[in-house]
Amino acid sequence: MKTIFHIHKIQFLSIFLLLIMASCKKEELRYEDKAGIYIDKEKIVGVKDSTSYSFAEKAGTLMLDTIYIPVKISGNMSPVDRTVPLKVDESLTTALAGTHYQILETKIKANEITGRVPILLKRTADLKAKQVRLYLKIATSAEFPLEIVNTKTNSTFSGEPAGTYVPGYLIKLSDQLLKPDTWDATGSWFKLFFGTYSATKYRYIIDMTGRIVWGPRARDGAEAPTLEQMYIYYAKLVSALYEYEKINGPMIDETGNQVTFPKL
Amino acid sequence: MKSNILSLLSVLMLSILFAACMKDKSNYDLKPINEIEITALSTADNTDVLLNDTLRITPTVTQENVTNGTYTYSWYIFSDAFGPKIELSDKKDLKVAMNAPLGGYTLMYVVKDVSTNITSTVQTHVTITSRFGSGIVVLEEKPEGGDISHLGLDGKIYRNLYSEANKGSYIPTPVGQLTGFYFKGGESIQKPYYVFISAPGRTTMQLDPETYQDASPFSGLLASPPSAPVELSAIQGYWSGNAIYALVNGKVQFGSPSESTPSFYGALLGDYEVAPFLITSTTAGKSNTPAITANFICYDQKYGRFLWFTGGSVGQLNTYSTDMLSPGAFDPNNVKKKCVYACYSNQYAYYNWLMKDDLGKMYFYQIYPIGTQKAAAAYAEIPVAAAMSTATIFAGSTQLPHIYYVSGNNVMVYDYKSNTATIAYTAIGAEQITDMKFSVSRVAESSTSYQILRTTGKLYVSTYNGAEGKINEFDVSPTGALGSPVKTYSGFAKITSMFYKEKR
Repeated sequence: MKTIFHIHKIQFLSIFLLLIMASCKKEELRYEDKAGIYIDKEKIVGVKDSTSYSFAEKAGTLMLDTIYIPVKISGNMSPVDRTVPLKVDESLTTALAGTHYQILETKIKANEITGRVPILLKRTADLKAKQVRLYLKIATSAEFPLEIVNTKTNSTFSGEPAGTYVPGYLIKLSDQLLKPDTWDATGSWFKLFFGTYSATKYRYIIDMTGRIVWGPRARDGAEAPTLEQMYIYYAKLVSALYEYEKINGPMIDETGNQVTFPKL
Repeated sequence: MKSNILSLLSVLMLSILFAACMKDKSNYDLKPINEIEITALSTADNTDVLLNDTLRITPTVTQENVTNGTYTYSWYIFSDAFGPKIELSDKKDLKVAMNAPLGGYTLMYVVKDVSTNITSTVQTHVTITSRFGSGIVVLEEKPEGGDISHLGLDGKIYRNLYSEANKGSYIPTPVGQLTGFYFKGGESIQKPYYVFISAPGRTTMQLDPETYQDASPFSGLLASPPSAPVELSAIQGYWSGNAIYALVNGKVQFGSPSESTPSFYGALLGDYEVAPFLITSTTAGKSNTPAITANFICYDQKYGRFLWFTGGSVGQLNTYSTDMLSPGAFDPNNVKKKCVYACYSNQYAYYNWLMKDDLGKMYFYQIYPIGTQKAAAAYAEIPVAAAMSTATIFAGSTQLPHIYYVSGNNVMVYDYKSNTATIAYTAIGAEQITDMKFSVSRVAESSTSYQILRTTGKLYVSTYNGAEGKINEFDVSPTGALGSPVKTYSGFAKITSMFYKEKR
C-alpha cells in the first residue's frame, strides 16, 4: 500500500491541486440576445388582454382621457433612449386615428427597462351610438428587432408559468354604458355586492346610487368606492328594489331574468 | 529527497487551506459599558390618569463610573389598540397633561448617553380615564329646561354639566329619555359608549360622553335617514361586533361597527313597525341546541308578531316558520298584544318580553333565537295581583329570573319562573319614582356566560318629591330583595332618565 501511495503520490497531488484550482475558476457566462419589447400584462389590473372604456361612465365634461399601456423590454438595457414600437393592427381596428384615438410617441429611457405608452381617447358624438375597437400590438423595429410572440404569467403552476398572454391589447371604446370588464373578476365588489350583471341592473345601480365611476372591480384605484360606501349602496339598492317591487312587481332585465341582489 | 519535498509541499498546501478557514481573532480596544440605570416608573402594574390631568414622574437616572454624563430623554406612549406612537416629552422628568384618547397605553422612557449612544429603557402601563368615564348619567328637568348631572361611582356628583358645556343653554322640553350605546368599533376601545337624548317629535340629540357638549344629531349616523324628526328608541350591537342595530321611527336600521364611529347603512326590509325594544342574541361561545340562527329579535307592533334577522347587511326581516308540527309555548307570528318591555333573562339565550292586551292584562313571553315555532320558549299570564298593567318603568336582571317594575310608589319584583310578584321597596311619603336602572357590564365572563348586557348587583331608583330629585342606591340581595337604600344621593331636579356607564 505504501508503495502504491508513493508511486501515485504525484498524480494524487496533481489531481488535488487541479480540483482546488478548478473550484476557484470564475465562470464567465456570456449572454447575447436581440432586444425585444412587449406589453407588460402583469401590470394590467383585471382583464389582461382588453378593456372596455366608456365615456358614459365619466363626467359629462370629459372629452379626452388617457389609457396607459405598460411595456417592458427583453434583453439588455440600452445607454440611449429607444422608441416604443407600439402600433395599431388595422385589420382588427375600427377606431379612427386622430378622431377616436392618438398614440403618443414614447421612449424607453436609457438604462431603464419599463415604460408607459399614453393612448389618448377622444369623446366623439358617434360613440354614443356605436362601439369602436382599437387593437394595439408591438411591432419590431431597428431598436427592438426581436419579435416576442407570447409572454408568460408570473404566477406558476407546478413550477411552470400558469398561463400565456397574447401579445396585443384591445381597447373597446364607446360613450355607452357597458358592462365593466372587471365585474366578474376575482374579488370583484361588483360581483359580491350586486351579483350577476345585466344592463338593466347596472343602469338601476347608477340611477339609485348616483355613482358612475367605480374603478376596476369597484375596489381598485383612487376612483373606487370604500367598503362602507359599497354597503351603503347595497342597502340603498335592496331597499329601493323592495319598494319598486311592491308597486310594479319584479324588475325584469333585458334577458328576461328578474333583477335581484345577493344576500350578504 | 523527492518524496520528502512532495510531502512538505502537501503539508504546506493543507496548512494554507486550513488557514483560510481559521477564525479571525483580532485584537480589539475593549472598553467597559457604563450601563444606565433608571428607577421604576411606577410601583403598580398600571396607573390610572384622568383625561387632561398632569402626569408627573421623576425617575432617578444613574450611570456606572459616570458622574456628569450628558443624556437625551424621550417619553412616549403607544396605545393598547395599536395606535401610533405619541411623543410626550424630551425632558428628564415627565410633567405633561394627558390628553390622548381614553384607553390603555404603554408609557416608555428612553435615556441615551450622548457620548456613547448607550440607551436604557423602562416602561409602565397607564390608563387614561375620564371622570365621566363611569357612573350614572342623570337627565334632569329644571325650570329652564333639561340638564345633565353625573354621579360618579365614588359618590361624587358633578352638576349642571350640559348647561355649562353648552354656554348656558338647556335641553329643550320635554327633555325625554337617555339612550346609551356601547360601541366597540374603532381605535378608542375605552370609549365605547354614545349618549343620546330622545323625545317624541324631536330628532334625537347626541352628547359627547366625556364633556356632555351637544354633538351632531343622531341622524348623522344614518346613511339614509328617514324624514325628520329622526327618533331613536333603542340601539344595540351584536355580540361579535359584526352588526349594530338601531330602532328609528319604527324601523330597524342596520349598520356595521367596522368604522371608527357607528354608521348605519339603511333600514331592514319588510312591512313592520317595531316596538321600542331590541334584543341581540349571543351563542355565549357555546355549542347550543338547537343551534342559534337569529342575530336579532324585535316585536312588530303593527301586526302583533315577533320578527328576527340574520345577515351581514340590509335584508329582509323574517317571520317565524309556520310549521306547527313542533310547536312552542306560543305562536311567535300571532301574539297580537302591545309590547311594554323587553330584556335579557338570567339564561344567556332566552329573552323576555312583557305584553299587554287591550283589556290591560299582562303577559310574559320568552324567546329563544331561532326561526322556528320552537323559538317560543315560555309563556304566562301574569296575575292581576302583580299590579303590572299601569307600569311604565322596568328593569330586568340577568342574574336572577326577576324583572323589577314600578307600580304606584312601589318597586315590585316579578319572578317569571314562579309567575309571582312581590313588593321590593316602597318610596317614602309623596316620593314619585321616576326611573330605575341596573348597574351593568359588558365585560365577558366565561364563568357566568357572556351576555350582551349583564346586570350587576346595584339597582338605582330615582324619586321626586315635587321639590327635589334623589337617587336611591340598592344592593340587590341574592334573593332579589332590595331592602333599604344603601345610599341616597340628593340635590337633583326632577330626574326623567338615567343611564349607567360602565367602567372599561
